[in-house]
Amino acid sequence: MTAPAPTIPSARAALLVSLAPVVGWRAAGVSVAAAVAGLATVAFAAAIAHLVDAVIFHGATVGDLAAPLGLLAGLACLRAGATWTFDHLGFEAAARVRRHLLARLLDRLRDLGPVRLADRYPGTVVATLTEAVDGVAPLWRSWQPAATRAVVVPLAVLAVVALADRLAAVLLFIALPLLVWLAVLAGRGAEEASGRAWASLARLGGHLLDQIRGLPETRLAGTADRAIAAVAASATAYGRETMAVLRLAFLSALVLEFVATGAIAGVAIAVGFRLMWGSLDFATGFLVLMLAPEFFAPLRDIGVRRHARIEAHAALDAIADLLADAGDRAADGSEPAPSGPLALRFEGVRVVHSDGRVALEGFDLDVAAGEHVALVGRSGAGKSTVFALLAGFLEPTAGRILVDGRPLAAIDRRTWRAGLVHLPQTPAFFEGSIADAVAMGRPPPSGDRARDVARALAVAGADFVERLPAGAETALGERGRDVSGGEAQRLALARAAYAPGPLVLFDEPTAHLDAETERRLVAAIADLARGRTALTIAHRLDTLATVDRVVVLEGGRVVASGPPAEILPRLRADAMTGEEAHDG
Amino acid sequence: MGDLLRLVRLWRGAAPWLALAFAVSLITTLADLALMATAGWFVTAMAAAGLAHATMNYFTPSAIIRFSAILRTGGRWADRVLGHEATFRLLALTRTELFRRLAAIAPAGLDELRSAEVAGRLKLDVDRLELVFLRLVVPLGVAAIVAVGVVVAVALWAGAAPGIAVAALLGLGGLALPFLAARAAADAGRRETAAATVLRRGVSDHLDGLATLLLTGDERRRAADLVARLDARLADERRVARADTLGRVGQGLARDAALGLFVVLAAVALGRGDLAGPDLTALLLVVAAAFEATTPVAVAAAALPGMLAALRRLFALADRPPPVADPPRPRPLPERFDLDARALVVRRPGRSAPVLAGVDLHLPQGAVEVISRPSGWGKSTLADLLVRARDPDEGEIRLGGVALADLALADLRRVVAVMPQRPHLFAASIAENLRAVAPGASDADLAAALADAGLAATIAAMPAGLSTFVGPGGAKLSGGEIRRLALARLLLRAEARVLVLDEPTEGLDAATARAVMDAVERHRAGRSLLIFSHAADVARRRADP
Repeated sequence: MTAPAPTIPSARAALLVSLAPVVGWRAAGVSVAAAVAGLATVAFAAAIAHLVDAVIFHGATVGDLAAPLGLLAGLACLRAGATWTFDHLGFEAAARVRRHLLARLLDRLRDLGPVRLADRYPGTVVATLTEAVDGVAPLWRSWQPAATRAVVVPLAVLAVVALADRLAAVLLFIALPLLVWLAVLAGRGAEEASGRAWASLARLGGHLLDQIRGLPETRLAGTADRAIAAVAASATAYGRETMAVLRLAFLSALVLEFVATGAIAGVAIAVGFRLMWGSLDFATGFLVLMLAPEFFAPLRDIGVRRHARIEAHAALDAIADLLADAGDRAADGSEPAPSGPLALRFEGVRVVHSDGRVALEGFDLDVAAGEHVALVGRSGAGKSTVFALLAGFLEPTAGRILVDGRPLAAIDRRTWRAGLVHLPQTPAFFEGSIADAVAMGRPPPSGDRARDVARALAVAGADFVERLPAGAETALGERGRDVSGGEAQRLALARAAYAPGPLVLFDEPTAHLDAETERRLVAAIADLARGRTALTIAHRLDTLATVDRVVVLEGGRVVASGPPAEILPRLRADAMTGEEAHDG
Repeated sequence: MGDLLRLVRLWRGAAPWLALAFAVSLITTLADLALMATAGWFVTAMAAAGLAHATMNYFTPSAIIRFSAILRTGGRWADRVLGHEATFRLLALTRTELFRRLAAIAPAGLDELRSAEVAGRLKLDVDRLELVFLRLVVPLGVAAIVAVGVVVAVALWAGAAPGIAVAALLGLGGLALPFLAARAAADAGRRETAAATVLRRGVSDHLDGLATLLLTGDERRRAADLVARLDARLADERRVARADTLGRVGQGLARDAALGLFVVLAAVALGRGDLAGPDLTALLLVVAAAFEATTPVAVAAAALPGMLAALRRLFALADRPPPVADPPRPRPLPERFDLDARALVVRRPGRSAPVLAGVDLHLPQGAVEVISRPSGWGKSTLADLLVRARDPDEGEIRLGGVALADLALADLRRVVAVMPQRPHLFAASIAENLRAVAPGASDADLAAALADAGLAATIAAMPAGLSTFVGPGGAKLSGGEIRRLALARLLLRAEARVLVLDEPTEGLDAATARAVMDAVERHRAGRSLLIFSHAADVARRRADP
């Protein structure tokens, strides 16, 4: 994101080009089928005009009608078949695009990783992978057929009318540019005003939801009546304001309607009088009158669908924006990850975030194999950046990280990550059972998943699982909703104990835990860390006593380092004077 | 359908607007029919006159054509304006009524609305509700009336046979087929909607837990899983799309068949001399226009199942019985406010262990009690019981010797005030957020409460001061600021005699926590104080009340 953002339309165009092979011949198929359906509609109208002329003015009997009726039936079936085809192809094209985009965006998330993604609102990213991916579908399903019809049908009508009656063709030809111009104008005015109206409706929906979520408090404070009045007042006010805009905006559509109707009326007058004067036969006159509305209908239709196109383009822009987020990703290494206890060395590491914030500056740290180091420092001191570097979510802007003397950048990222035991502040859970949450798709070390899960749960002291009727096979519920904060921490610990690698990264929880749970958690982690290299981000002074060394970070560098007995008294003194060294 | 009737009853307040919007829509469609009929008749009659070298009165038909063209054009504008106007009125009615009902079951009846997913669905459902009139009632009503009128006209002018043919094709192809198609796809549609929610949750979990997934190596499998879920969803969407295509293609075929059949049957009637040429053309164009009027039925039919499901969910939510009720004859508030609770038990359905298992509480008037128990002990539930957000399954609470259940809810909640663990801030100004619970407070009261809660300096530094917008859910404030704002809300409740604070210092740094607790002590003015907290320094306060 250090490079200037490309202009949006070109990013959208590039994305559309990249989608062409995904859609393949289906895009052309949609257009051909839509054109055929449009032409069949025109031909059907002409056939009906011919039929009516034969019946009324040429005394055709039912027997004479067999051939034209057969033609009519053929055209009806052709139109039905063509409609079916472009609907089907449009759906399949859109389906392939959606599948492709979701897979590509998920690849993108993997490349960017959680730390670089943190610059974006999570809600926006989720919306890009869901609503935006779904939102591109109208381009192939409705816009493309409508746009094809809007080109093919008016031209076909004009050609047929020109062959039959020059005067009517001239009238239509004159009205066309005026109508296209008005259609664009009306589209811009009315549809966007209508869009604004629905957008303000969405805001209103937000207001209602806000009031509903606040109901517990207003109700207990006895002010629910006031909230009810606020909901009623805001709904009424929105309605009044929006209608003032809409009444005017719809006027441009009214003008369009008037011109189209006027043009048809002009054609009708030109036809009608020449019919009475006998200078035009009924078959031609009626044909022209049947075709005139078909001339304008696709133009009106496309005005209505413009809105869907605008929304689909906005969706494409959101997707292109996330895909284009370069992130300064280094190439993956290829060396195997070490499996035994490992030594870490940070040499003059500097990390500058994409927004220019300096997270680490001249950061030097040596961690011996099997050593347990606690990082302390204010929020923003760079503790979590150290973790992000070790997890491979960030690369140093300058300096390097060595693992057992080898550069971290040279080690294969996937196997390196598999060797990390990570305990985040708030553990994440996914749909599935408790056993799934512990194993996380990893092969069981002993070959027996149930046994390894049970062992890991025992190590973590997660005895509450045994009391559940289905034990470890109990479903976790939506995002681990059914477990308390302490239980969640134990499950995360069991996850770490299931297949422990050589490096432990422990981010102490800051809240939600009672003292007893916390004490047991820290003890279990100390057990897990034995014989492994371990780094802890500590928020409490009383948990530091058990580590080998305490490292104090400030402004992205190490300002003090030493055994707890030496560092702790200094930190305590700072805390007494209000200098909180342990702020999360 | 019962839900639909209930909705209609709810809309009585906007009846004149709805009637007007419907009438204008109908008149516009009828003007279109008149225009087509007269134009067809006129052209044929003129051609016949031309052939006979006769003249005819073209003033009356052309006047009708002009009039109906203007009526149709103006009508379409009025239709849009009135349709939106009526929708906005419905919106005000339905939203207010829904909110009124939710207020009656708040607070304990709305627990699950804390989940963003349930809340998001509620918003979608309400939005959908407002389209029922514009997308469902108007097009269906207009199409049905027009269909009946056109069939009667065809039968009167052209005879029974064409009448029956048009009635059958219009009824089956134009009106019934879209509903049959929509019904055939209803199950797939429901599955698809549910799958969309599940996929969205899956994506959101994936993003939230991306670090864990990458570090456990489970990310690729989960990502492939999400794509597979989209595939499954697309299979159902395909069924819905097919049904939709079937409905539209079927409508088109029915129209084409009706036009062809009408010409054949009319030719017979013409041969017998039962039908005049100009009438034939007029009726043909009217039949075509009637089919035109049925095209929105396909959209309505496709939207119907979703709208009915939304209605069902909303009414089910609104119909929940209130978890607590006012006593029939409330007793007056006691003189003293000693709190006594004995053997309180609260169970939650589906969980074997009770949420609250035999808890006792004794809090004399003016005393301070800190409850510092492990997580999962049920402190938030106990706080709910004290203001009767819910009632215990066993045990009883007394305030000054009177059972809580014998007090009027409004009285009880005036004297017992809770600062919740996760306060809700409205997307409004700071002043609005305070007045939401203390409507009568003056600016000076607000300033005083904010100063007591230790926020005076923070707010003075904000550009708009008390009018500063806090963002949705208070997004523009830090966790500590939100908590202190909640404290200011509590301090504004001047009549409260018992203050309950649920984790007042959670997420605050030590200095702020100390400041907040000092403020509470300073301003409690003889009120009883019940504090739930894990923090050690809060627990220490029990020693020196």
